[in-house]
Amino acid sequence: MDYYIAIASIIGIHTLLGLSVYLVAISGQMSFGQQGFFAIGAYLAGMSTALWGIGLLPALALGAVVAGLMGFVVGFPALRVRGLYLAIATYGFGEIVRLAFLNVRYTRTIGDRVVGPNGAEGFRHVRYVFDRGFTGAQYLAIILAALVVVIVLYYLLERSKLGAKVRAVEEDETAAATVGINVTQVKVLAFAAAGAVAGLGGGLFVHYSTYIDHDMVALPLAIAAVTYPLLGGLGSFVGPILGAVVLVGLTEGLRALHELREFVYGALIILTMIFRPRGIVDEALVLRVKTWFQPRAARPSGPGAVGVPAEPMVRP
Amino acid sequence: MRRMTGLQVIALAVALLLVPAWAVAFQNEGTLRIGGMWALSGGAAFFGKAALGLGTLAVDEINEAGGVTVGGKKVKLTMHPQDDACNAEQGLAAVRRLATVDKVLFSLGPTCSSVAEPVFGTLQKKLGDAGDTGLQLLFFTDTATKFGLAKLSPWVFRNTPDEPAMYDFIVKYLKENRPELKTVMVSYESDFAHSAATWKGALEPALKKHGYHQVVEVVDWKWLDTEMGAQVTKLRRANADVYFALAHTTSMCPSLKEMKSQRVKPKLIFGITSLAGTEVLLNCPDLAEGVVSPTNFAPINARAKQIADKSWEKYKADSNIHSVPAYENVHLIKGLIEKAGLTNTEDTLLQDRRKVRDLLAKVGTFQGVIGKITLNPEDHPVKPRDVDKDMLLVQVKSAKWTVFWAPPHLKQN
Repeated sequence: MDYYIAIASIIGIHTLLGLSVYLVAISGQMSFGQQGFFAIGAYLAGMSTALWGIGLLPALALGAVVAGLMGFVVGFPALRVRGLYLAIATYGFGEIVRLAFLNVRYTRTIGDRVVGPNGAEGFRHVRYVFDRGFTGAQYLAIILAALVVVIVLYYLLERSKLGAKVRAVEEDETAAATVGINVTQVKVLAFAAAGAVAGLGGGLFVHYSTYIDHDMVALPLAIAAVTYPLLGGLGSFVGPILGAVVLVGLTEGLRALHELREFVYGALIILTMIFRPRGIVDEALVLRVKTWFQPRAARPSGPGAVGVPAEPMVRP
Repeated sequence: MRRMTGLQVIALAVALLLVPAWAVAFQNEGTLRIGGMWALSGGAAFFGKAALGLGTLAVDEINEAGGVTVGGKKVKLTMHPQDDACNAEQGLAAVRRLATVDKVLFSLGPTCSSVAEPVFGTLQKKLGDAGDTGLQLLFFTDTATKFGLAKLSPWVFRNTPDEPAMYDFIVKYLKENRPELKTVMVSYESDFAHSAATWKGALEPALKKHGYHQVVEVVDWKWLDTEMGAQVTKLRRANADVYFALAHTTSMCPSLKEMKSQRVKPKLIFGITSLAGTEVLLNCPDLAEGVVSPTNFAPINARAKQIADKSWEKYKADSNIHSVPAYENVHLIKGLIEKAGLTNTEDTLLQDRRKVRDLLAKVGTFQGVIGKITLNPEDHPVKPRDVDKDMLLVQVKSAKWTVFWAPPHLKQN
């Protein structure tokens, strides 16, 4: 059972990372730097419990808040660039954070342990969870509780005016600005909230693994984080959850295939991009599902109605 | 019949893939499970596959000789390898799979120190304390070399190189035997825990301690980098007598190629411990000509040659500094299993692990493939549960590793 709890824990943590990228993506931006916020959350939350003796929940909150503030700061310069340039700029931010932690040495000897970030040696002994007798299932419950809180907030966002503004900015920034939406505010808020979510994931991760180093928050994590919403879909917050479940599940399930695993991932992503360019849970699927829950009389019926494909355009 | 949607197919596939092979084992079935987690894919797979091959060779030898005696009955060892791909998160899942799904008595591996750090960190720290919910799984590691890893948990024992001692010896050897070589330059892989630790924790302290050599340049790159033009230019300008290339084959070969094109020719090149295997000979034998590397294994006696030939013939597994310990560890544990009075049932697995662990802690000196090995006791002040063993220096000559230096008692074999 412990093994499945471990996989569920990893999926939960990676889902937070995927949801972080998703929030930035639905505001029309693409970030390859969410692993930087994840690292900030991980190191800060780890230092809080292992060095400063703070409890787990305040430590997680501190990591998330500081990562969120960093997201707020990063959000402003991010406004000046778009598309591929933004992707590179955000990746640059992730690298700055990673290299900063590569050089941070802030250790204390506690008993027989040297605890704290120790440059390239990494940050060992974040053993709050194990030293206090948490079982794997109990820690999974904490991860899932955090995930549920985030999902509820996303659910409320997607049904709020602010959520509509975020989607409008993604669709067409200029049009959104024309109708009075403060694009700067929406984008910066998205970055800040996404930073906090990634930071929360990082805090949960370091207490799960007891260890973190700069190499664990490098490019492969950035790619994984972006892949979850792209594969799972950008139509709803369900997309990144599905992406994390499928990809982490495949990583574990196909362990015996060794190198062939990479081939399976690659093929899966290529096929998804060809047949469902907005991911598995795209906007069309979301609308179709929504209609299932509507009274029959209220369902759209004619061509071109919401959730119903329009009639093919006849070109002269 | 209703057709399945794409989503349903994916969900079903993931669910099926996560289901383990149905567990049948232990005393009643006449088997005893041992495990290993190595990098069997990815950039470090050469080492992982080699260790798996040597561990499996030991299992084969034991089973061909009748198996291991448990409770008066001969049972066969079965090997349960897991691939961690040199990735920390995959390692964290693999260790739980070994402990709770495969239900192994002990595990070999992991390959990478960066995986060993979190994996060992999640093991029980306070032995026998119910309040410490860390995993209770015995590791007898063959490869992960970073100094100090065995201190992370009393469930960790290692038969791995003692790099601080090795580089201390090399620096002393150079000072005494090649006093004309006074300047040193160094390269290491900043993103590879083992490489960075070899520089910071082994070579740099040794150079400072002996105080003879002047370090004129230190450069770094990443272990999967293939372009080192700028770094090699710095090394060319430094033009030191001795070059310590603390890099694995993946970055070693491209860096040596760049050195050749920039005509950088130090008088002596020393590699990292992990270099002393076949991988570098397969990838860039000409470029590596003359490189010296510290190691704990070379086929210098009949038994070592036989094991190296057999492992290559059966599993295409390279016998090297990291893989041969997997062979030694399985043979050592086999003897302990027979002494420990195991019951070898699923219900008593935790007690069985503890019994073997406690015996391993008291082993002291045992016979390795090329010489005696001493497993330090738990109260050792510097490196508890780590080994002391003979070291050699080997050098690439005509695309083969040859002995550059060996202690006198090993030369006699």
